Amino acid sequence: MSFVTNTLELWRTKTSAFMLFLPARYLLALLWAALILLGAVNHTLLPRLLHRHVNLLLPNLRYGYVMFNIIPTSASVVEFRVDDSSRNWSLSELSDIQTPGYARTRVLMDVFTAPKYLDELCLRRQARTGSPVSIVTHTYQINGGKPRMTGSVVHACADERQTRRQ
Amino acid sequence: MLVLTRDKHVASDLARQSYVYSVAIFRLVFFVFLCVHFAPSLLSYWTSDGVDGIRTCEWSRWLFDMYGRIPVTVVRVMSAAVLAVSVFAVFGVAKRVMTLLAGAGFYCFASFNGIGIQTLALIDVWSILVIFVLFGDSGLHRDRLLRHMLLFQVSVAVFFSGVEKVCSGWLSRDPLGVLFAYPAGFMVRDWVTTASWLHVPAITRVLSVTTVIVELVVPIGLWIDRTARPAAVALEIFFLLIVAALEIPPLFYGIFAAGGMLVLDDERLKRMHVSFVKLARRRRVGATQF
Repeated sequence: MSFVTNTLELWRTKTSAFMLFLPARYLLALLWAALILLGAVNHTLLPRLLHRHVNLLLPNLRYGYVMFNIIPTSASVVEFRVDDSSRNWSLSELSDIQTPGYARTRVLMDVFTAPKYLDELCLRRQARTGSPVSIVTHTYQINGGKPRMTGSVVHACADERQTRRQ
Repeated sequence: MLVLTRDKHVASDLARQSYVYSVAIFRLVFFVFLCVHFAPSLLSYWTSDGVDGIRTCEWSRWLFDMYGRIPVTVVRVMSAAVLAVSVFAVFGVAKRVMTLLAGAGFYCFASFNGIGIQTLALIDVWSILVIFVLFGDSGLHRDRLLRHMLLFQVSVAVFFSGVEKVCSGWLSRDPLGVLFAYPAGFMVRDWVTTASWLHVPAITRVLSVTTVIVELVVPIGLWIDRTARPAAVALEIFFLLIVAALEIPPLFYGIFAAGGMLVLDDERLKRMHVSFVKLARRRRVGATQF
């Protein structure tokens, strides 16, 4: 890297430690690069070697989850139906916030991390349209590269909310 | 750039390379994809009062509690301000100030709508924003230091993704065989569920191993002069295939594939531009003659 070779050249030519001046920006770059490496190691190797990781506080070092490193063999597809129809709609249709390229996954992840979010979306949709909405959850098991449906649950929004209250 | 040559003249020429254009292209692509990523959450406060949005407390407990006390009108103004600032950042207006403000704004809204769980993209975003603020003087050593830092961030993220996959057993198992077998509506795009060739165990096994090899080797190749361009092409294709196959934010492509552009110095970009212009002129002349 050129700034490393520049630094080494500077060290070689300066005869007096007093005259040696390492630009502050290069020091900052080295420090930031070290922090980047530390953050990466902290979330990948350190938990495996020492069964712990350090809270490095800075926003870019606080988390380090690599998606799809572990791929579960079970999957749940959540959809919805309107008015007792048999047609299933994508969960992303329940939300007005349409994200380009990954709308289904975004809503699904939100639902998995905060189950009450599904209640809210569902009930708001019902209130807006006046039509009853049912949530359909299909669970699959992946064996030998093929998905096999292991369960299917249909429940109305209102039922879900009452069930949760109980 | 690591120079594998004993020729001092070549080495000194390479050391004087300028990366102003490639850094500018990276900045443009990065901020455009960032705007596209955050815009739905920011605009939702103007289209639907954000009622369909979700906020989670894992990202920042303090921000989560604070938003509960802020009127919706103020949140609307904040969202508009962040969007405006990020548009300025796209066009390179007052670069460091706009980058700092855009970064702070995006951080505030990162707990909205599942953005906070996409850590592999977000940690790179925060780091790249800080790099732009700290080292973003255009014209400073012709942007070499800025370019090195950006390329380092992208390389480390990709490399350690590969390390994480090795530790998770990607080389001994067939994880892509499971991933591509997911039903429609769960993580994969619809064409993947119907593509029969992606459900052949031999092919998915090869793809799993290839993924790990690409993630471990390409980041190193980006730093060696002889392999930089093939590595950049491999990175572009790799992340294009990922975004095409999986339902993940396009921001991933905007960060990592744009990082591959950083291997092109200004001389090479100028030569590419001249070649494209000549090719376009020849085609226009050919069409006119026909």
